[in-house]
Amino acid sequence: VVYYRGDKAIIREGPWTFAHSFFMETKIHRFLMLVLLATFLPIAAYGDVVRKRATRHIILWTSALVVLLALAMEGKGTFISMGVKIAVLAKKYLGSLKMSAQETNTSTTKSTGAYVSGFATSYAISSILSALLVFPRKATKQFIVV
Amino acid sequence: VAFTGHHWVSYGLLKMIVFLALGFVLSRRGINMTGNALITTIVGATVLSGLIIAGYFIRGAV
Repeated sequence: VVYYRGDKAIIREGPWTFAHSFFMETKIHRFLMLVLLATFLPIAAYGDVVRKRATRHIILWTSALVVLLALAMEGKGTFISMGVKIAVLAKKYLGSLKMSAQETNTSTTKSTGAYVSGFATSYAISSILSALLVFPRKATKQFIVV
Repeated sequence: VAFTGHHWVSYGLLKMIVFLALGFVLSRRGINMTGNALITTIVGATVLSGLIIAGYFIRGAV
């Protein structure tokens, strides 16, 4: 919000304009979903969580969504920072902020790798959280109490 | 719009107020909903809104 204006101007002059027009735009809008889910979490957790199985499930699912959204935002952040770096590199080595698709291939591969690993991590965490939901009632209760 | 110093902060604040106000009003209407129905609603709404946001900005980026 405060420092992005400069980066935005650099990204828009560079070859990766989608770093702003897609990744940053979706990131800031999805952040608001994260805020609403994070606000809902303590409201859902109010009361006797240990005895209410349905409440526990709601809390776990909401937590899983918060984790997934946060990791997705991290992945988008990778693209945004790469958008700035590529624009600066283009200016430094080509004298212009524009660079051909072929010249950006190496950076694209690295960035995509980071994005995929981010999603893989988020998928793993959400799988663990989902697995907790199918635990027998007694086991879930013990898990919460411990 | 930027009464907080930045329009995005104002937007976030406005969303929070609407969320809390709607939550307050709806919680007093005594709506019966099972845990699974609420989970489906929350997850469905999050996924669907995420897809709508992505779709809208893909159109803008292309």
